[in-house]
Parts: sequence; C-alpha cells; structure tokens
Amino acid sequence: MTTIPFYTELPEFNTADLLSATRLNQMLSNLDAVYGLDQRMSIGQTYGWNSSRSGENGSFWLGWVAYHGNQLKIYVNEACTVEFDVTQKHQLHTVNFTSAGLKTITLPAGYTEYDCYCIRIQNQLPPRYAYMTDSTAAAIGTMPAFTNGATSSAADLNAVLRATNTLAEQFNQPIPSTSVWASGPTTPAWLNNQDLYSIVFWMQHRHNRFEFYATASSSGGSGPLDTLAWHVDTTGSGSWHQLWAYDISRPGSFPPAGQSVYNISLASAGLTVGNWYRFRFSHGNNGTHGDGTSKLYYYGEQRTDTAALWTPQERWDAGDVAHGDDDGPPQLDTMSANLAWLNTNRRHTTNPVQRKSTQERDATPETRTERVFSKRVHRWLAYENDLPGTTPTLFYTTDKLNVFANVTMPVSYSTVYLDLDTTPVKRGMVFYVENCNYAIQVPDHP
Amino acid sequence: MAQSITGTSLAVNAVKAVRHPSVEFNVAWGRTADTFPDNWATQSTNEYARIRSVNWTRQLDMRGPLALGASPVAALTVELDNYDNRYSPFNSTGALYSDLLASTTTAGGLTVEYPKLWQVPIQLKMGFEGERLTVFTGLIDDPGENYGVSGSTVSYRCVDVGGMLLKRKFSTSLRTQTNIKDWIVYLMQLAGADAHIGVNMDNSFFYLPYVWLDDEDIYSECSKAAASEGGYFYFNEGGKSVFRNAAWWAQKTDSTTSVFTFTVARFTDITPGYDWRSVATGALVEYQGRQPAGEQVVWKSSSTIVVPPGTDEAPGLETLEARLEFPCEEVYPPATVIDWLPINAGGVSMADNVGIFMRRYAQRVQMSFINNSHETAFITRMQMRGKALFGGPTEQVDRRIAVPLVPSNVIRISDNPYIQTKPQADLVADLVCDRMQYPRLTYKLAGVPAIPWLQLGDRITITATDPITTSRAAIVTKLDFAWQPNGRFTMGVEAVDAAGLFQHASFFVVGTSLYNSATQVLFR
Repeated sequence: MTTIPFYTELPEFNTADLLSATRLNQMLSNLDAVYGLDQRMSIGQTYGWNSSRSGENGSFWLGWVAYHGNQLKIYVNEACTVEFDVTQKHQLHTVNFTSAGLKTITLPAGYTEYDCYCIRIQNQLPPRYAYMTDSTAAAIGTMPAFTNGATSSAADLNAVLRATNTLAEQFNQPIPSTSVWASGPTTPAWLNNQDLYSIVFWMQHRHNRFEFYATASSSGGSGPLDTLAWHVDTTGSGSWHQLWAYDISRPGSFPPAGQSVYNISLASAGLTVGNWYRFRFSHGNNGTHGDGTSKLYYYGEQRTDTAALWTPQERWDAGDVAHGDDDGPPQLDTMSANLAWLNTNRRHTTNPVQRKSTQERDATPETRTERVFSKRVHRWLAYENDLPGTTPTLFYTTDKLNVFANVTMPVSYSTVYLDLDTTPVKRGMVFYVENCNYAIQVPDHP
Repeated sequence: MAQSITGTSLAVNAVKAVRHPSVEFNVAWGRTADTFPDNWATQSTNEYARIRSVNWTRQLDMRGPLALGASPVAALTVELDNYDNRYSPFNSTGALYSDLLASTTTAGGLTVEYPKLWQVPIQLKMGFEGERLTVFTGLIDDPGENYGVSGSTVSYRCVDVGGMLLKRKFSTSLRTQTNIKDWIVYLMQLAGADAHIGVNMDNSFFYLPYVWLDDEDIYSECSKAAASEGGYFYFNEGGKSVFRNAAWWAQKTDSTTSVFTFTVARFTDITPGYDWRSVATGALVEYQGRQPAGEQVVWKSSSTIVVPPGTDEAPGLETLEARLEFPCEEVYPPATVIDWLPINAGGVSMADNVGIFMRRYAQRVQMSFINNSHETAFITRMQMRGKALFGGPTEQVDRRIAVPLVPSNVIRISDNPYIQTKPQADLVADLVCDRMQYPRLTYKLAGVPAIPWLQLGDRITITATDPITTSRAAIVTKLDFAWQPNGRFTMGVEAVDAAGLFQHASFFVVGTSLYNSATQVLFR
C-alpha cells in the first residue's frame, strides 16, 4: 500500500447515510493533503557535465529515477541513444533518437515500483531534463455542483472522494534531490556546462516565488562590486531575464546581517506554469584578484502565500447546515472548486529524474561527488553508495542552512531505503546527502 | 429494527385480552455449530411439547457509556420434561441416545463416553394463534439434568451465535484500510460462520487503518471494531450478525419512529431511573496510530533449535511457534546464514538437508523444520525479519462539555486497539459527550404481555400519565422474555429516554435531504 503523506482513505457513502461532520472534515483534510503535495517545493535538476561538446569520447550522462509511472519523458539536445536500466536490474531498454526535442519512451512492464533505475546517454550532449509520467493517469471529470435546494446524493459525495483519491495518487510522486553548488577557484563548478562562477539548470515552473539560501564572499583587490544574480531564460534560447541581483561591497560578504533565506518573485518573467525553464545563478567576480567565492545551498520554486485559486476549507461542526453552493462557509461545493483547481495542476505532477551526483570527466580523469539537497516530504529515502570506500552521510540543520549536523547511513551498493523517521530529519526540514549516486524520497518501497 | 409482522395478525393477537401463545422449539440433535442447520424443518426436532419453562434475554451493555455499549451474547434457558429419560445421554434405550452420547478410545485402549450436548443448535419461535416469529437462534452451552421427587427434567442454558464465536480464536495476516463491516464479514468467514453473516450491516464512517488477530476471539474483536466508532455488534433473533454504526438510533426508521406504545394497561410495574453517577463533564478518548517501520528483525530464537535426525521412513521434524515482536505486513522467508544456519555439532553446514516450512500471520509464525539427514541439526541464534508495523505513541482527544452539570467526571475511553486515528477518536468523544452530559433517564417495565417482534434499538412510547405526565419516547436496550405452558407469556423491557441522546432532532440524510436544508443538520 502506498503511503500518501497526511492522507487517510475513507469508505464511500451510501444512500440513507447520515452526513457526518467528522467524516466531512476528514475529506477536507485529505484534500488539504493533496493540495500540499501540489504546493511542495519545485527543485531544479542540474544536468550535464562540464563539457558542452557533442560526441566527446567517453563522456556520458547518468540519471536515476525511482520508478513510478509508465513512461519516460526526456528532452534530448541532439540525436542520441537513451538507455533505461543501465545496471539491468530488470532489463535494459534502449531507444535511438534522430533529432533533438522532448521524447517519450514507453517503458515495458516488469520494472518494480519505487525501485531506482539508471538512465544513460553516452558520447552525446546531456538532456535538458527528464521525468517519468503515467500515461494512464485519468482526469477527475466534472465535480458535483452541490446546488442549494437540490436533493443530495451519495454519488455527489463519492465523486469527491474518488476524485481526491485519484489526484492523491497522481500528486504523490517521488522527490529527487538537487545539487549544492559552489563557485570559486578552489571549488570549481565544473559539473555544469558553464563557467566557474555560475550554475545553470532546468526546472519545472510551478510556483510564483523562488526561494534560495546562498553565501558568498567578495573577491579582493580593486574594481567594481561583486554581483550575485538570478536569471531565467524565458524562451529556452538564451533570453536571459534578470530576476534578482545583489551587489556585494568589497571587501564584503553575503548574506547581509539579519538576512537568511531569500524569497523572490517570478512574476516579472511571465513564465507558464508546468513548463520547464533554464535558471542561472551567477557570481559576477569583478575583483582584481578574481578570488570571490559563493555557495548555493538551497534553491527552488516555493510559494509563500496560499494559492490564489485555492479556497480555504473551513471545518464543519455537528449541527451545521450542509450548505451546498451558497450561505456558507463551510460549503460543500468548496471541495468541488478546489478539486477542479487541483485538476488543472495535474500536468506538472511529474517524477523527475535525478542526475547522478558523481560524474566522471574523461578529458581530465577526475571524479567528483557532490552533495545533493532535498526538502523532506516522504518517509523513505532511496539511495546507494557512489564510490567504494566512502560512507553515505546525511546532513541536517535545525538552524541556519549552512550549519549542519550529520549522521552516517548504512553502506549499500544497491538501492536501500532509509526510514527518515529514524533520523532527526522531520518532514519539512532541508537535508543534504553526500557520497551517494542519488537520494530520492519515495512514499513507499518494494 | 423490529421484526416484520407484515401479513400476519400478530399485532392484533398480541394485544387481545386472552392470548394464545404459539411455540416452536427446534433442536438439531446430533449437530454442532459446524453443522448448523440450514433447514430447521427437516434438520431438527420440535421439542415444544416438553417445555416446562423458557426465558431469554438480549441486551446492549449499559454499564459503560452508551455510545460504546457492546452487546453481551443473548442467553436462553429452557427446562424440558424428561419423564421418559428421552434427554438422558446415558440412557441407551432413549430415542435420542445416538445423538446425545459419543465415545472414543484413548491411546491406551480405554473407552471414554461423554454427552455431546455442547453447542447443539437450537431455535425458538414464539407468537400467537399459530403465527410465530423466530425469537432466538443459538446453541446449547451448559446442559444440566435433574432426577428426583419433583420429576425428571433437563435444563439447557443456551447462548446465541455470538457464544460460538467467543470460543473461536484465530490469528490472521495484516489487513489495511478495512471497512468495519468487511472486517466483521472476514472474521466470521474465518470462524466458519458464513451462514450467520447478516445482510444489512451498516457501513462504517471510517476505515480501520490496520487490523489483525493474534490468537483472539472473533466476537470480542467484532465488538471492539464496532465500538471504535461508537457502534454495536450483536446477533439478532435469527442468528445473523448485526453491525450498527454510531448513527443507529438517529437513522433507522424503527429507532426514529415509535414501534409500540406501552400504556399502563400493558405493564404491571414501571421503574424510572435517573443516573447521575455517569453524568459526564467531558470525554478523553485515546487513539494509537500504527505506522510501517520498514524491515526489522522481529524475532530471535531464545535457545538452540534442535532438529532430530530423520529415519528411513520419515524425516526428522521439529515445530516451533514464534511470537513476533511487532505485527508485520510481511514476514520474509529466512535467508541462509543471515537468518539461520543449520549445522551439525562440528559446525558442518546442513543447509542442504534441513528445510523450513512456515505459516505466517501478522504477529506469529508457525515453523516446521524438516531434517532429511541422519544426524541431528542444530540451529543457533535464528532470527526472522519482516516489514514491521510500529504502534505510535498514544494520543487522546479531550472534549469538555460547555455547561457541566456535575463538578468533574471525565469519561476515559482507552484500550480499544481499533481506535487508531484522530477522526475516530473525535467521533467517539463527541458521541460520549452528547449522550452522557445529562442525567440519563431509564425505564424498566415489568409484567409486560410479550411483544415478540420488539428488538433492541427500537423506539417505544411509554405512557404513564400519573407519574409521568407526558408520554416519553425511549430506545429499547434490554428485553427479557419468559413463558411456561399454561402460564403467561411476558416480558420485561429496559429502555433509555430518547431525548438528549443526540443534540439535534433531525439529521442530513444522504439521498433524501436537500443541500442547505436548515432543518437537516450534520451528524457528529
């Protein structure tokens, strides 16, 4: 049984049942649980390695996905071969593409739900992004109107129950991690196909705010100010729109005293919800010495306010009149309205592929592992060791996002599922993992 | 729900000044609970002519808060005339001898004879003028014989079908998200009581998140499951299971519309009661969630397991029943070396010669070790792993009544393992507060000419204008019937005043009420 966070399945209604406030309130709580899954942070995926050259011998891109859905969507940057289940846990599935673009790979049956599978593109450009979806995921249809004065029916209430169940299943997706990034001469950002002082990644646009936590110190010497900035490519072809910028005085550091997590608006960029966009964080290292450094710990789209089209769900009390579509709140039709709104968000309930956190570069044989961060939603963390001799480690913070305690995790070279309830990481906390090929939160495990 | 008397003259004949009771007492001699009759007419004998007296009782347990009342199994006692020793098990010339006495031979060759009267199915039908209703279906639980100057009699104390389930204990695998009705049906099927599953059991408000049995009896578990959301479980007159949810008395027609009116002409005594001791100022309802705990070691052997060697005729066998530390969604087959390693005394592996067969339940595993070799196998530090389920910390819902009538009496409801979620606890706490915040008015009627179609939960009207000026509506909570030949067919009734059981008079009925109807409000 898949566990949906904060969700409790309910029996259906029957004609002649008494309508219960307790039961209605549980239905509302379930809807709130689905809403919460939709409103979770959208984390960017940092694809690629340092080379942007096509056909570099020996170069490859690896990603991992917790199997959930039935097809892989992958945006390839050029003609290439995509391999699914490279480690052949079940069976290798290979597809050749002759052009760039968003491709769909229908996966054969037999893969295990929530087991983690490796995806590879060899000697070609890495993909922009990749994710799994379920082609059979159904829409919820028209929700009942609950018109005042109309005769009630079990079918109305069961339509709400079923629709909530349907959306809960669809919104309950694995949650991958993304990279903690550092710039500067001593910690080059060579994992990304950008320069030393910026990180570029693709991210699905879901919320109207962007949140991040970063630290930086300015470069030395004379010259203009160092500048930290966020940009988004609004067209996918290099139309960089500045979202935010901050000048660091020299000498100086970021964030300024009293500031920690930044939350910036995306409204000015005119992005479309559900589409994927390229984001860039950069450190304009203008000092004479060019030795400024920055570190990006945590970043992604995160809303700050309740979504505009979501109607707050006031609870019922025994003795309340069952208002239909007027005279409340509470009103029964609030459930229909909220379900209809959630239904419009179905298309971006995807299961993103996480780029393997250890990437090897052929031109200069070197292996680098990076920390990957996530915000806890689910109970189980699927991971496996990256390199022999290393110990997977879980970092967590209850204070500032750059101050961490850590616990080690069991060493395993196949997918293992850590019960996060046995760690200090509570739901909602940011955590980091290192020395793992991947770290993906899953609601259940095989 | 009162039994249907449509198409009969029972309603007329029951209130005549001179009544002629009609009786049928069927006993399925030679049968047991496992061979319960499906056709009483052909599979039983009507012993009504031998009845000296019969009385029976069914009730809802009123000791605790009304909202959580369980129902003790209904009981019937019948005394039969045994002037010809028809019912004497050791009378070898008796007509029922072969059905009453069994014999077996011990391992040492001794013959043991014993009466086989226990759990013999019985059925009682009562009515008037040749029209009868089934008023009790059950089994003989405690037979007795008496011979002497007052005559020869046998008496049988009988219980309803619930009595059979009380004595049947089972273990099950773990089930999740289960409707109470479905859980009851499953348990009854497990107990082999399919024929007693009622057809009109209520649906529950919530699912039971995790359920399983660990050597527990079916009747108690069904009762606890029903109580987890303020409902009742019992067997009706026909021997069919009944689950009524928390809305029973606010929903069913026979609980909301008076089935019978008792005027002073229809009873000899009335005893109103006012229960101040149980007036509540609030309710504390405990609930304990369960959650998957992932893979865990759930059992370790306490000592070395010794599996004897096999012979040419049969392999060696050792059995063991392991009680697991936690209930498990799944218990894994033990992996060699990690979980177990059979060896000989010299440390040589016998893994190829020793096998294990397991029967797995949620919280116990029955293991059989088979040794196909000719030397003894030893298994040290064996363990079992599984996907365990942890019981979370106990939490509670605390409801306080706004205007309490007594200084302090908070009713605590705990120890029901089926209350696992806060909504369940909310519902139960609200019901308790609703029903127990006023001094509960109860009525005991005695010397009542029996109304055999009356059932538990029926709404009745009590009209006794001298002591109680205005007629009262009440819900039947106990029925006592008694009859003897040439005597009166009487009953006693206990009922609880209907006013104040719920805070509102009319609730929103799905499928009937109109959205926004001001007079149809939400139930708890």
